[in-house]
Amino acid sequence: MSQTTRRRFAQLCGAAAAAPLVLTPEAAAQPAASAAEEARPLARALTEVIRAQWGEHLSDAQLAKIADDMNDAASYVERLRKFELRNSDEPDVSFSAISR
Amino acid sequence: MSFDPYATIGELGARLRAREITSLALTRLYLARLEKHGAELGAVVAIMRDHAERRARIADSELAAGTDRGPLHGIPYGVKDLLATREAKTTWGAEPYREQQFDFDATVVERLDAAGAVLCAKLAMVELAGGFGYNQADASFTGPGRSPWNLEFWSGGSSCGPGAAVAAALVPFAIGSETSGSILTPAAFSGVTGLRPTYGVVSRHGAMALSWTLDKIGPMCRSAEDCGIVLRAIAGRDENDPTTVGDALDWKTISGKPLKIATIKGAVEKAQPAVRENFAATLALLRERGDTIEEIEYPDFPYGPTVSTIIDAEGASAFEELLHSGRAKLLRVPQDQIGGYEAAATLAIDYLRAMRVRGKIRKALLELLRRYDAIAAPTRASVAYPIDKRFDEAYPGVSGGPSLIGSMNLAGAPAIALPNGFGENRLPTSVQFAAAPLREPLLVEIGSWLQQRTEFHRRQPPRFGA
Repeated sequence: MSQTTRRRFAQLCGAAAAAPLVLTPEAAAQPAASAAEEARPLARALTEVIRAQWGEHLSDAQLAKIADDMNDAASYVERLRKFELRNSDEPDVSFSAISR
Repeated sequence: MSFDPYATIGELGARLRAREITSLALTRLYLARLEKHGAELGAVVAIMRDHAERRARIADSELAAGTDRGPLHGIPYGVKDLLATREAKTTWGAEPYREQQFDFDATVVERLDAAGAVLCAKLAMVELAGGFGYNQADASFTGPGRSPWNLEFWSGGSSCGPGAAVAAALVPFAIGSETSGSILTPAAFSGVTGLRPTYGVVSRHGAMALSWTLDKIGPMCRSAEDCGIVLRAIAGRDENDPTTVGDALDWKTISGKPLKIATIKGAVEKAQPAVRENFAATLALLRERGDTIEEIEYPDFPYGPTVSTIIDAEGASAFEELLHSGRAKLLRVPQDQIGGYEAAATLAIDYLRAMRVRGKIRKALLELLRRYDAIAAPTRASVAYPIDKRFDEAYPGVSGGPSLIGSMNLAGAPAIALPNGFGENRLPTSVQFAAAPLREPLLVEIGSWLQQRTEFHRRQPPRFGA
């Protein structure tokens, strides 16, 4: 990987605006390599989604970079995906049928 | 007549009311500084001379007639160029929107106008507020925002223009915005005081949307007291922004009594030495006033992936037209040209999972903030990044531990950042305090108390001195 993705960037240094976080020691200790292995098919599939929807706007080099980034991102998101949730844990958004 | 462009809002207001200076003269002095220094700092998108002089004349005539709109009456200011203005284009820092013109003013601009403040300039910002994953300082069509303390270093982002403009006294105060760090980081890197309000306290109507559930608008000023003055003028319910709350801030609760403040285990160990030392000095001052300082284990959650997933999903939706049209290729940063497409591939189930985890994060942090008045940490683990390096290559090995900025943005909680010394290359360091939602008055109190006993907020970058 020659460039830094937004999520890898967040892991590395705590970016300024969009992703200002660093992993906790516990998270950093997770087996990133195996997560990346597991993530590859999904990353490939998502890259194909991008190619199908917006490929006309992207060069081959950009699509190759996206493939790398998606692979990287998929393993980063694994920590979110593995966080334990119960059926009753609702998303922190509110919908109101009554206009406010 | 002598004039200190680094004066606070209170000091400027006193001189206006003593008839020692007019708003028009004051406005022209700041317009001259904007014209002289704005470009070299990469801080300015547009200077609104005609509009500003017109508003200043009105402010003067009102004062002469005995109409005083309050502490901001006649005071010049600038806004980050993501706030809509009728009188100037609103570019969002991005080439694809360089000619964008709105026919209304953002609510924040309307409120400052009603308070008598004089809008002088649209200030630079990182393109699209950094939503597509920039990793370099040169991330706006105006070029990199430069720190007035050392032009080879970044003024921070994404509110790079407000940070540099306030630090170099091109305006007495400015309005910035934060999705996750974009007020606090430029406040830290530029050496100014920035206040991120509670989500919903300040209307976002007329502001560029990056993340509907994370975006906040807030002041960047010379002092904490100034932040309080500006926040009072812009806060409050707005029928155009259904997320806003009413008159929720209770400024009468300020007591001056000793506080219980938490620090985070692991927050300073890998910070730059000066950051660590200056943070220790700030804590020592707080202990002198009787505050209790306790180090805590910060709740362990996947803060990074959670905030990233939310910004990705909401940001890709907010800029869907830009992606479909292919105009993303006009963005300045190569990563930004593809970052939106990557973000658009966020799975719905991941976004909803992030919002579910966010609920648990909010609950855990609010519980923590019931036990402590505030949580303190260095705002950034390093001084400003060099302009010519990618962020991840700037300071290898330096990090700040669990992210107070990201986690508190997820919780919608307020924070204040204020300069607390200097570090490498004579660049500013900064301390931040986060508190429970709606406790902005307490944060202003803490900041003001510290700034009455230190003079870091009074320092002037030598090259841009009065």
